[in-house]
Amino acid sequence: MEACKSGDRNAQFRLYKLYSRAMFNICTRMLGDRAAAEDALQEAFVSVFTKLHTFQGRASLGAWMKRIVVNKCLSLLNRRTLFTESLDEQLHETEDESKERDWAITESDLSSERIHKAIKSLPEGCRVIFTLYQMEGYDHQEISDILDVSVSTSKSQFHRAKKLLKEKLFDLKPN
Amino acid sequence: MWKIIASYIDDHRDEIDLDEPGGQVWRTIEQKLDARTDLKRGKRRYFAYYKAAAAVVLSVGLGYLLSKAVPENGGSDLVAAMDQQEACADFDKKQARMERTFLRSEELVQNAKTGAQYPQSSQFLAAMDSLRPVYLRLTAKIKQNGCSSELVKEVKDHQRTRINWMTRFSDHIEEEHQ
Repeated sequence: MEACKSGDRNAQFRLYKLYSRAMFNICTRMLGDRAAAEDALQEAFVSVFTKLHTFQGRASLGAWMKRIVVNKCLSLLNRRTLFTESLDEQLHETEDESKERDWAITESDLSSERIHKAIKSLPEGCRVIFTLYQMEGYDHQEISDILDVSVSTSKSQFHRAKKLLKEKLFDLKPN
Repeated sequence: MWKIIASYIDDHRDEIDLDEPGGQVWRTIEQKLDARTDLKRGKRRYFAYYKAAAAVVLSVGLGYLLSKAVPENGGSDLVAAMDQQEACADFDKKQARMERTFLRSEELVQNAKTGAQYPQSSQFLAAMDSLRPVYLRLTAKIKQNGCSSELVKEVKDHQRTRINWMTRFSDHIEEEHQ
């Protein structure tokens, strides 16, 4: 850390290698475009290294860096077009598992690659919310503040993402 | 069923992160960091140049002024003698002015001590009391040693201090009796 703060390039590269993959995947999930994700990652790491002296250690370094990365991604997103659902699309599904269709999926049917592809294929709006909620641990209130949407929008988009993911995983399930 | 998927995602998070950034990402980060460092260095260099230039200008200016103040023959003794001569020429006037100031302030002190007209004058009285021995020392020095440039300076300082206190006391009286 101290070496990074003092501008030691080798130390900074080691830190980059440690976190770049995880942070890059946050960017690809949020932005859906590799080029945009690389831009966001570059900007985020430049901010990390120039602001490392402000890191106070209240949260973990990874959590601190994640915040910077998420903020960079959000600044690149066109939030106005993020959610274009009509009122009809607002879902009011409950989580009553007993009413779900009998999807024939078990954990052995899942694979990291399939889930990775399924998440990336989600529409932009619900993909962003799914990433923030399920992958990065933000709650709906925080998402509502960050994206300037209502909590109910955040929840409904997350439900939509879950539904679509289940369908995509089912579609991708080998016969 | 969602619980199965969510649990899988939590347990296999690292494996789900399949994408890797390209090699040029780090090179771009390096370039941007280097550019920032160069900018900072450039700013520091820029500031250092200006400081140096300012120091040169000041030195030249001071040198010019000093050359005007000090004769070319480097006669520092002559300068000191001229200072003293000039100072002592009006020393009698300064001494007389100091004594008049002292008498006037003594008069004010006496009035203040009666307490009838200036009830809040303790600070003034304390200041005047502290200046009295200075005045007595100066007059003794003048009688003993005669005029010197140091003594002239002391007399001027003492008179200035006394006048300052008298002015403040006058202002205080005005405020009190408005």
